[in-house]
Amino acid sequence: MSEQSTAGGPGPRSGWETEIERTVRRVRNIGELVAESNEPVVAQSPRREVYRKHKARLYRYDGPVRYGTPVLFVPNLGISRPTVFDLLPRASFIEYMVEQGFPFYLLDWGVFGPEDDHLTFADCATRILPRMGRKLLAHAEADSCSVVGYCMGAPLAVSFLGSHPDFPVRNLVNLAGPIDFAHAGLFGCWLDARYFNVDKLVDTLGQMPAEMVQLGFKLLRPTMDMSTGLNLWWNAWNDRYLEGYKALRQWSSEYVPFPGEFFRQWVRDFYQENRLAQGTLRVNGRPVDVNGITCPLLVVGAREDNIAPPAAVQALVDLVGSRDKEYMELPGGHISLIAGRSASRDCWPHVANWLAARSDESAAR
Amino acid sequence: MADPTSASDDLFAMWRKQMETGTEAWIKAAQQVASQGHVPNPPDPAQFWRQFSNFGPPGASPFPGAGPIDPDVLAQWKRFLDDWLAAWSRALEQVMGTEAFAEALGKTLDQFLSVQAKARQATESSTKAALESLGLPSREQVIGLSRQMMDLEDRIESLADQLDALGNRPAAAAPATTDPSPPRRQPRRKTAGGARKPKDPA
Repeated sequence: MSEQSTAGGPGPRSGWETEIERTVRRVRNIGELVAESNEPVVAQSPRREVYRKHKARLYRYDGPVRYGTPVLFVPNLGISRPTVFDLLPRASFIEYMVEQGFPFYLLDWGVFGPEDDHLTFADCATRILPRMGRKLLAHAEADSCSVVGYCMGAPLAVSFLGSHPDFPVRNLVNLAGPIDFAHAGLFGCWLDARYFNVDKLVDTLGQMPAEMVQLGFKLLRPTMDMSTGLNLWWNAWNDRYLEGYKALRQWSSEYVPFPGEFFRQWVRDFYQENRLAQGTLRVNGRPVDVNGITCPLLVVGAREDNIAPPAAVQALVDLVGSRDKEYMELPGGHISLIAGRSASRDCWPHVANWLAARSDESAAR
Repeated sequence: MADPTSASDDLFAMWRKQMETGTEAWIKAAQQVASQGHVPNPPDPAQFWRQFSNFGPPGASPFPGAGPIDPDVLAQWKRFLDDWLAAWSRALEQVMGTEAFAEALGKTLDQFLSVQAKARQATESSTKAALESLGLPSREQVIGLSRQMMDLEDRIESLADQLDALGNRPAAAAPATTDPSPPRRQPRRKTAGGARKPKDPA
């Protein structure tokens, strides 16, 4: 806050001068924020489309290659766009991983329309993910790859790997991905089968609309908007903060709907029946054997995560058959693992170092 | 089933507790400022104007009547608001985590969907009739077309897979052919590193 705060002398006066100066900048910056229509340019890291299947795209990010084991990054489907993983230069998870030398591939699930309402969770785990995995291996000319799942991407990745034991996965990383839905927090309570009729919702609306997704997340933390506004006012003098705020605001204002059948299966099999953790999940007739996953595993949970509470995330450690496995819990919320100062300080380096120790050196070096 | 009245009592109790916590935080913040010697007297509302009437030597306090108020009080105010919001968030989270709230939410959604179903049915039938009269395809027809294209894409992929599989078959097992075209290029596989079988180093 104030640079000098000692009583008497020029200290408090300097503090006030600083505060007045900051307040002037706050007013000016917020005025500009309200008036300007230019949105910040996000997702600037150079990339190429490797493959596409329906709405899903597989992108390869350009950068120096130090490791021969490529990384397949599987984010959440629906809810939001994957721009948060590549928010701004020097504040991007993808940019960081690429700079560390990993051949980095992002699976972008896309934005779903009514024509995708029939797409199920099982389709994603047995038709899209295996194909994307094979295309990645062929493109990277590799024999195996690491899979990093974030949020819903983690249960998707686990369902894919558990139902495809022949897929050559080298390492698995779960970033804030819920696995045991007995600990799913408020969402688990609201989506309880006794109160939430998922069939009626999907049969009536066809899909889970973006507006309802937004409502659900706003309800999860009703004071979030006030808190964000307060922090904005407090930090609005800081141009760098404002730049990050604008990028994050752009990302967080764009919600993505769920395909209807996907949402039905997601709510019923995971939130209501907790099949993944209980070992009873089947995807398109294939049993999902989580214990059959034996590759090295890193699980990262966030202490104040109310979307995927740490207990729901940590459960994967006990379910897999891996011997090399690690759980790490970091302070902060769901997004703080993937964006923001604490992510770049605590989470990204740990993930990169963990993967680096378990990846091949690139033959091209 | 949880009693809704007990939930409202809980909410009131939490609100009261939160107010008490907030008051304590204010008192604590005021005590901290006072103990640092920054505000020997309570804040003086007229102090802003006093600087224009009291001119002292250079370096003297511009607020001779009331003494200087450190701008850190603003940081304390911000911390108080953060705590206040966090307390509200915790209180609301407790209320929203009750079965009574989940039940109420479910009922609200159910009612909304019942209304939506009727409204959608009416809108869709009238829109369909209007589009038909104009000779335009309906929403269902456009969606159907899109799905057909997606099915077609799947079939092409499946054919490509089968062709790849044929190309990867060993020469001895492949059927005799008179086709002089060159064999399909095998996808290159890196030999160094990356074991085919997943390995667990531990």
